[in-house]
Amino acid sequence: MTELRGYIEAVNHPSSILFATDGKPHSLRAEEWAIEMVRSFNIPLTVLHVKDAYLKQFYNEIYAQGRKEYLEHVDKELMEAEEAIRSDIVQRLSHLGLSYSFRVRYGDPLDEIIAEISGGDYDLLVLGGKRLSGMRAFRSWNLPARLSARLGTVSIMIVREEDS
Amino acid sequence: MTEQDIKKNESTEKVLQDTSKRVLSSEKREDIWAIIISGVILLLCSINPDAIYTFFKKTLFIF
Amino acid sequence: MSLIRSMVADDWQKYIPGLLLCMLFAFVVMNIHHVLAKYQKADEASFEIPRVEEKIAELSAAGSDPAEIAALQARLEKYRKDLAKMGGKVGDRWEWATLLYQDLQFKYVAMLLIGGIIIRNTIGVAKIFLPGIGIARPLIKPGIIILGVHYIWSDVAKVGGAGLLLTAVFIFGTALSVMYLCKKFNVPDGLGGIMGAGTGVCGVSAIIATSPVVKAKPRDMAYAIGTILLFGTLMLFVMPYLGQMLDVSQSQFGAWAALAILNTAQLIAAAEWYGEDARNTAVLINAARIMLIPFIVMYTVWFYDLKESVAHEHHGLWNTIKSKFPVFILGFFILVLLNSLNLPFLGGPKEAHTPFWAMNAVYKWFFALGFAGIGLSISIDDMKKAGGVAFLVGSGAAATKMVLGLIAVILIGTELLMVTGGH
Repeated sequence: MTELRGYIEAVNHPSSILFATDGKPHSLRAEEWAIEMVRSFNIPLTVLHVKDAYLKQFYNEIYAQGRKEYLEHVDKELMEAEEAIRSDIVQRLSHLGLSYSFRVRYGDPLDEIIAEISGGDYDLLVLGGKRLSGMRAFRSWNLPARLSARLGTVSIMIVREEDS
Repeated sequence: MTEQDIKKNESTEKVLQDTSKRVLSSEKREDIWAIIISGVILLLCSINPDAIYTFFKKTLFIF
Repeated sequence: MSLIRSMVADDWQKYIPGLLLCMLFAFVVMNIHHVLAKYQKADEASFEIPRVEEKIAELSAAGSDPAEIAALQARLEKYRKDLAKMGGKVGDRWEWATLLYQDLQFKYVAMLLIGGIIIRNTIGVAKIFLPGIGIARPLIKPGIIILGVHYIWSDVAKVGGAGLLLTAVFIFGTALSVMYLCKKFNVPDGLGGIMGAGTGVCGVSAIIATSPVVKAKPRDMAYAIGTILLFGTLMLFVMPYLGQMLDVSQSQFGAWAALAILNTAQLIAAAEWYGEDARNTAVLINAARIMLIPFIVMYTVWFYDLKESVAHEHHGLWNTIKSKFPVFILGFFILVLLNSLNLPFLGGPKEAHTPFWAMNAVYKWFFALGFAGIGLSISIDDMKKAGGVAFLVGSGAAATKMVLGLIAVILIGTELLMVTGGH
């Protein structure tokens, strides 16, 4: 880490970081990196959590009964997940005395992360990614790869989950 | 976290919940529409069976 | 006025582009199907005409039954018409049409589904079309209601009764075994519950009905939905070919598909693909089966002994059934009733120039629109989400049901599963 810090400082360092998290292990690993950079360079951090609307699209499945309850259930689960992620990271960042803002968006993670970046003043996106190879790479939706294909102007740092 | 952020989040939250309320019992609406559509077709078929038959069996096939 | 307003979604405009896209897609495919069918018939006619003529000459020389000869004459006449439509003469062949239409079963159902999947997963579908594509799928429902003119009460009692018994055994058998095994192997209740209901009845629809009740986690729901979609799509494409290979009769296929394919739309697609009799049996058994949805939800509540269900109990048994009951199926039964009464002013699907005869010409277009919507909404990315325990449970249940279902319909035989349609 120290070597990296030295290298980035020698070139130039990011002035504002967007950290996108879904609270899963690979995101927690990326969180370490994001916090470390924010601390080293003393720059602001924005934490973004996208509430994935994926499950909602199935509500009008042809014979689905009880659609309202279904949507409410999904909303409630998403809200609980958001609360858990928020309280964890907010506690951690406040404890470290870092300046941050926590943002929540709703929709398709790919689109929402891109929208957040185009609407804000970020020059580095940090996010976690699964270790992918073979069948897993084929089966994965691979958000980091899709993001990097569509984000031409911002640097992206993909932190892979720990080798299991 | 800024005040502004909180407000913005709350407003998106509200919009979302409103959307899920609006689809309230959309399954019943869908079912009633299905019955209405079939009723209308039954009516049209009773008025002029030949015209309906010709339209769906011949006119719609342009080749 | 407010009643009328409540029947229309506030933002109905957003459905128009997708709906138009589905209409265009269905229109093009139905026309291709029509042309293929015409060429296939001409090909068959061109091949059969000399044979029929020879047979007529033979029978006439031998002084056979005039009725038999007349029947052959009528067949010959039909073949001549088919051939004349394409402006062909005896000896002309259109083997490609027979290959596509008859051997490969490349009919409108297959074209809409396969074409839809290809479009959706290669060039993709712009976001503006998505809401309308979603709303095109339920257009199968009016199609199903209209199909009510194909049945009479004795069919409902015979096929529906046998089907209902069979599906009830399969549904509750699957749900019970899946939930029991999940409990035994310590799968979380949420996942066990939605997989039990999902593999038992109607797939994703059942997951939607049960997930709030068993408090399923989003991750498990994505796994379960992905698995159900994956196996549903696999079955839809594999079963018609498998049925042909195993030489399963139309009616048996309809019942087999109704046992093995969870999703109603996929079931009707597979059965319609296999043939008209298969579809008639499948639609009737399906009508019986979807009425079981409220019961499976209640069964799930009971199995997991859910504390929250106390809240549900306030509504009472009758209200639970009412709130989860698919109302549109009543429309189907009303038409069955009307057809059973044999009313002269309504006629029947085979009596020309009558209202029911005209209605019979319409249903295919609703199906085509619905299938266009289904094809265009099958996303391989969604199926990739299949995984975890859900995948194991789903694949096990799907394979078991397919094999047991096949054995069951073979044991039952065609007779009991055949829809007569009455007059």
